[in-house]
Amino acid sequence: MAEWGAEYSHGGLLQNIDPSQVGNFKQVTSSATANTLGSWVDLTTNLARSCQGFLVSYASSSSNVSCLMDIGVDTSGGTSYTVVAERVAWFGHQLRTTEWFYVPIAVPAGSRVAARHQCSTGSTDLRLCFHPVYAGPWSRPAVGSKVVAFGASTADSGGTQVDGAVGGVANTYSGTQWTLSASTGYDICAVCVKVGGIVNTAPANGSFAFRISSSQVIHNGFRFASGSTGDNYGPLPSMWLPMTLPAGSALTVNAMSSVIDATDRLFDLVAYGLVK
Amino acid sequence: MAEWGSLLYWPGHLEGVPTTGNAEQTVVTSSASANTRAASYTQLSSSTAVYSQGLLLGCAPGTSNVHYAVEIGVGAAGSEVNVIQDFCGAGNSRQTQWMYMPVIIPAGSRLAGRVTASSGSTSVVVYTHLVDAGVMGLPAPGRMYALGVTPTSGVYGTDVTTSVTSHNATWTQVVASCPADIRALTFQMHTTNTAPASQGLQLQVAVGAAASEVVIVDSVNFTGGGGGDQVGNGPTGWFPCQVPAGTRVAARVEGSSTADVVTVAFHGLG
Repeated sequence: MAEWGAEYSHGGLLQNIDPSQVGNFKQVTSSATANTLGSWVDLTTNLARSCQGFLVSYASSSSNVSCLMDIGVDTSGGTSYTVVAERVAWFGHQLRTTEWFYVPIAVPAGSRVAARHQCSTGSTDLRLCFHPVYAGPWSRPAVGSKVVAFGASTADSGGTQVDGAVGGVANTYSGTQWTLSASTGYDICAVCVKVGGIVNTAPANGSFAFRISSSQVIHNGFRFASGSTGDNYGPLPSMWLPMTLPAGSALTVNAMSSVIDATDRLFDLVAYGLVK
Repeated sequence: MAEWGSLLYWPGHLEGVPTTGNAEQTVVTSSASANTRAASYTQLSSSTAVYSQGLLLGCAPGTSNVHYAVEIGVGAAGSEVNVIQDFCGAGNSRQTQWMYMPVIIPAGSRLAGRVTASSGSTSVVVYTHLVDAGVMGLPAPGRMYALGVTPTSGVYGTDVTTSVTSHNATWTQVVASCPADIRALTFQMHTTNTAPASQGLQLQVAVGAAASEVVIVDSVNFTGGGGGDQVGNGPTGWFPCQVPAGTRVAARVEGSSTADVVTVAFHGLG
């Protein structure tokens, strides 16, 4: 058998926080007012065992909405949450399309973990499942302090709107760069990306590729599909790429698209940085 | 800055194959006959641009309600060697499903893809991405095994009937005997049901003889949706385990409200 490092010796790798509940999701509802954060909802009130990070699976029972979710932790078990992951996107996918987001931040036993979100439509639910990860591949990197969002728009609960076919030119990277962050403000040690469809209810079948750049290109030709069955753009996998971005770095994106329709060629994008 | 393992000293970099050209990339079409391997692979890249320690595969089917299995091979035309074996999916058309495979691919390699599907002449857009540095901390790349997947027999995973009874569901055997020592597992959940129930779903994975199963993954929560024929997606990562060759692996899925069927496919990293 291949040998795993000592950090893998637990054997246990992923466990839902409360496996006694079937279909164990927590329903988190946005404010009745569009694009306004709702109340915190507990994912766990007392984490039984310290974890090296956690996975969140989440979906909405509504289509054609954009949501930005905060995840907070109070290590003392109270309700004074520190946001450890901000503006995690669920962008207008077909209802019940499950997105995953890995938060590579250690959480001590006894912590209370909660989520809240804002949505482009008031009183919209997100259904979350919280999966502590005790060991294993997901636990790298294990020691970030916070996940910050670049390019999220709280005004419409979306992301940065990127044009994949500037001037109606298909399959060509635009010279236009969209700024996700003019200055990151933190030392970033890994980057993850989410995309969406700007609440486009009938996108054409198409494909997109994007480049995210700082001092160097991080994602060079990251592709995903859009589809006419529902308002489907992507989703992308929850995948952190290690990357050293000193505080003050700029982060930009440009893209190309196989479709040129003025609406269908647009997509949302948010980049996430793991703060050491 | 954070400390990464030895595999991760290099900055991460993701390189599309290719980085430019048609955003649609390559459409790979299955044989005209259902559940039949295509006669040949379709070239994805004649020569990869960079060395990589991982391959990120995205698949967007052109048709809903069809099971598909995608293989990725490396090597000269007619002599491809599988590095991704039968990545299975089904669901809404154009919904991208993903797999990350820790495999070393030297720069200059030829990449090709092949699709087998439950309906003849099914097209799948295949997106491939080379990842320079390890992403998820696996100790070493290795060989991938599709477990309980035989598309040429019409098997794109194991159909698991969900239970609405909390953790009392019957285990369904996915693989009778692992073909090799397995050190990590990943899973895909999909369906060809045109109207799956809208409900929460929970997957558990166990090893051991029937009636003596021991849970090794507890629990992965995902959803089934009435909007199209979708369940999932599943998480894209690999989860460490130590499953010796010859071990039986089983799964059960529980639903929050309704009995349904979910097709579960495993891949093991040897």
